[in-house]
Amino acid sequence: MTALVPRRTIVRTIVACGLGAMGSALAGSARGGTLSSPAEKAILTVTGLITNTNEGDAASFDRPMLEALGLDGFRTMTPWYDRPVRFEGVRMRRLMQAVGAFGTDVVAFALNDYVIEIPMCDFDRHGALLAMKRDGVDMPVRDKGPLFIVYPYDSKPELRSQQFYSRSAWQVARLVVT
Amino acid sequence: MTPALQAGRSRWVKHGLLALVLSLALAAAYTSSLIVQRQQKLREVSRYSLTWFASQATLEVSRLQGVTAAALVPGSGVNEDDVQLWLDIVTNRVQLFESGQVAEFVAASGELRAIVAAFRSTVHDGRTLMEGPASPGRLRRLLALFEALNAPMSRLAAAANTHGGVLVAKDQRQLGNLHWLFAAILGALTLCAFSLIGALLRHNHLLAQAREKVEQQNRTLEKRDSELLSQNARIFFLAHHDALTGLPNRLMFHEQLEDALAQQGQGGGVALLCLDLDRFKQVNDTLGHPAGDMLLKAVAGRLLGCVREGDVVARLGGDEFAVLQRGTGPAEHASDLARRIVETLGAPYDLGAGRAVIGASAGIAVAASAPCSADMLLRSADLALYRAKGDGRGSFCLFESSMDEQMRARRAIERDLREALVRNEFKMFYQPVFHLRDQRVSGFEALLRWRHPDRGLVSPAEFVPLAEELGLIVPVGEWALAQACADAATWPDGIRVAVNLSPVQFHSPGLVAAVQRGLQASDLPAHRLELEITESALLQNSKAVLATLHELRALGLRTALDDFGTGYSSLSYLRSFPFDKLKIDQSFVREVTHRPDCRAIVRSVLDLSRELGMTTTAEGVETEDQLGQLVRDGCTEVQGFLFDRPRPAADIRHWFAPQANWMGTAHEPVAIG
Repeated sequence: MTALVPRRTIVRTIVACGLGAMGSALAGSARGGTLSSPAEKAILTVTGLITNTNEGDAASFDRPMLEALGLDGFRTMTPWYDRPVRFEGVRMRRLMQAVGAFGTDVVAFALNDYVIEIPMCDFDRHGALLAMKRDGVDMPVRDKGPLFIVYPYDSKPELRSQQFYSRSAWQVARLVVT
Repeated sequence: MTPALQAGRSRWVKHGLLALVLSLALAAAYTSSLIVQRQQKLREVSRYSLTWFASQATLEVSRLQGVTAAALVPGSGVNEDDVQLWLDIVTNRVQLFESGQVAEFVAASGELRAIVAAFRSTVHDGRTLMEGPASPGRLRRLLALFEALNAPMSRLAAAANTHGGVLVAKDQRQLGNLHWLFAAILGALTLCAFSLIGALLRHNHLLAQAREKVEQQNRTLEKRDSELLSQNARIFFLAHHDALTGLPNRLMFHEQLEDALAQQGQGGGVALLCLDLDRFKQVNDTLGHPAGDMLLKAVAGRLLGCVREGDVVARLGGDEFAVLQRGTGPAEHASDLARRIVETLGAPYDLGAGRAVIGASAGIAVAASAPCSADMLLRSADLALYRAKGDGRGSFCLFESSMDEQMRARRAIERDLREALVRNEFKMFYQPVFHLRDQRVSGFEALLRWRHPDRGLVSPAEFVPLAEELGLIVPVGEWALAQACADAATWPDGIRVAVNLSPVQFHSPGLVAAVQRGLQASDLPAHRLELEITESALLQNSKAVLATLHELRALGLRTALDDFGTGYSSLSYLRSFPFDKLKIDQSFVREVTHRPDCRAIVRSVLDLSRELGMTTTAEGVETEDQLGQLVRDGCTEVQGFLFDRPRPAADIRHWFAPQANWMGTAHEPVAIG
């Protein structure tokens, strides 16, 4: 499924985002491995190049854990709705810090087996959000839930392109930092 | 090319350039907007992929069927929860068909709408089935429900793919159009650029032409300027030079003289020579004006040959020349130059029309050490010239201060003379004339005297020439005539009065009328008036003289030829002109007793007069011997100091007594006074 993203883009993104990702990774590792275990049913699992784990080499999150990382959000138009909607959730940057990620890319796996590789510099540069609520309501699987990676498409014209729409994975269940 | 046409072209080129620049700006703006459009198109090309979306829907429907089928197989590890998850995923998908770009895509086609409606109702039925009470056959029914969707979903994916292809083709076509438009704009821009370059080249060419034109005009102007300058120089030269000889004229000479005098203090003296040509008028009259001009040029040439470098030779006018000598030593040097000039100019001239010999007189004035103006120096040189001419032609004279004094005295007398008549300073004196045979006074000669308030009596020899020169002699003579007539009218009958007429007076047009007035005013019978005319008055225009004499005689008066024997004394006068009397000059009478030649002359004149029927009067008889001689030779009348000197009218009354004769009066000889 990684073939969906052209290799050239990946290489360029790696070069462009390397330093930022390293910074994020170091900041994450500085926090130390203090991740509590999920009390409810886990809705997200992060693996790969991370330092903070709570289940073997994975970091699992239930809904309250994610909410505890700090909710943020924005209002934007999307190709999927006729009107602007407000998304709320955890900033991907914040999440990466929480897990102490030190890779350059994040591969997102959706429940429908959709896989997309996202350069980590998107998180800093574009403010990518791991949305949990749409218009104040938790998103169920039948409405792109439980987690939906979204970008503030209205903020920059370049975000309103196939490249970023394809990175906007819904029904996300697993992230792998590479 | 005319300047107007050139200016027109230049303006056209400017407007053309402006239009080109504007076109360039417009093209650039349009190109910019095209680029924006192109970017927009490119963005649309990369928009959300419907094809992907539709194929994902097909895939998810298939995966739901797969999961459901697996859940029917015991021990497969797949349960209803997995089926529920995929049902949710498919539910999510069907909801996505209801909004956004997907909904627009679906709404465009009835078939697609039907497919999506079937999809939606199937999902709805599936969810209803799964949310209801668990029953053994529901998974199988769910599978059957969704199997019915396989064909329509494939159709949907294919339609989406087709739609995507159409869109891509449309985008590509638009991009292609944009490309051509862009290429056309670029071509136009290139054309504009070339036109701009061409227009600039043309403009530069025009500018170069205009500059060439301006330079040409400048050259013309410079030429005109220099022409004007040379014209000015020519005008200046003409204003300061004599056109005939090319010598400086009076104006320039005056300036040069002033300059020389101003610089005099810095060394060297200044000498001024004024020259006057003698007999120049004769050359003009006899050989013609062209010869006169030639002569003047030759004189100028000779003068220039006489002077040193630095000296100035000028023609002051007519036959007057002047030489300015600078840095001269003593006055002798100037005299040497004057001598040389007079000598040189005296040599004969060959004038083509004939040879001419003229003379020149020079007056010299040397600037004294005291401040001296140009005018003063010129006047001094003129005075010296005047003196030189008086001394005789072909001579020169150095100015002396006495000349100035004499001139001043002459001026003073002139001034007084002009006022003498008004101030009643003229007096008439009378000298008796004796008739020898009758032994009595036959008349008196009236003599004009001027009693000057300061100088006393002034001799007529002194003031009459001056009065003639000043043109005063006519009114003065008229007054004398009237006064003499008036005095004579008081005398006894038979006593005549003789009045002298000067040559100027004789030739004046009003003479006859004046005589008539004198006679009428005094009631003096005309026969008692005698007019004495000197020989010199007869020299000119004998016809007019004759007419005047006849007119006078027609009035009834007598005419006498005065001072006979002193001038030209042509015997033809006696024959040509009607005179009643001949007066023998005293110079002959004075010598008559001891010079035989004089006696012979006097005797012949007396004989001739007698023969011609004229009476005679001997003037200046001073001795008894002279009287005796004249009596013997048959003279008619005598006058002179032997009898009486001229006296005022009041002092001659005693002569009118009946016994009066010359023996009865004191008649000691007295010097002429």
